Amino acid sequence: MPSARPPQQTDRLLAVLQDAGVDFVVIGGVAALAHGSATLTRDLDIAAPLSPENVERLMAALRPYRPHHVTRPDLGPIQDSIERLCEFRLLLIDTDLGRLDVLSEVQPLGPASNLSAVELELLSGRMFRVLTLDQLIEVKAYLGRPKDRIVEVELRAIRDVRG
Amino acid sequence: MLSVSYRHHLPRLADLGYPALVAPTNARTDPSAWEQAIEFGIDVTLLEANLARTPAERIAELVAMNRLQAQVQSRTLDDATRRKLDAAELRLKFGDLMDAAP
Repeated sequence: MPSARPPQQTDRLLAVLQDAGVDFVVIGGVAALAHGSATLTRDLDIAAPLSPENVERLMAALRPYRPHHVTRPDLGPIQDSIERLCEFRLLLIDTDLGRLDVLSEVQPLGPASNLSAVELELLSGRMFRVLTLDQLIEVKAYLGRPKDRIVEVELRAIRDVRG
Repeated sequence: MLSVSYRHHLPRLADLGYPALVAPTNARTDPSAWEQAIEFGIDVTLLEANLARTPAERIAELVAMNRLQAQVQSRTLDDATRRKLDAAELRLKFGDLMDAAP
């Protein structure tokens, strides 16, 4: 039977999170793309403190879009308490707007609150905090997987032409 | 080609009023990161095209590509195969960190 997965709507996910006042920094492939990388990504990665207030805002923002754990789609929409969700280091969430991976810390940089971010206009008229090019290169170099290596080389080239 | 016996009769550049030739101090000996990217196999024309866009235009392009990808996959992948691919991709992306997720 053909797959009926909804398309990844990164723009709407970003807007929904911002409208809800979630404290987050865009990292991963979307951050790389925002800086100029040409490598496509199929999910949105964010770094966010998994504090009760922030997780409450996050879940309130996602609730209309049927959020469920990527690793346990059989359980249906997420029913865990906010306290329980705060115990994890990362939340891998599938929604009707696509995949959202929430990391409370980013290796090798540390907790979300330690990251350096720049403000970029990712949606028309709306600014978002995005991991800096230097730190993104550091992360990609640390991860070292084939796809990360490609993005790392791209980002170094972009930094080179920006001077 | 001039023979050795004529060379000392030729005027030197300095004698003709030209400045002495000095190697630029910023001359690069190592390839730049841009050149390294080309060597690595990156299609830098795609990078140039992306850099000519604004971040918002890059995100809009991503969303359009994701929509196209979903349309293609809806016709070519069955649910079981897609789930298997997703699981493999997830494991590759997070490795042992998966144990820190619900």
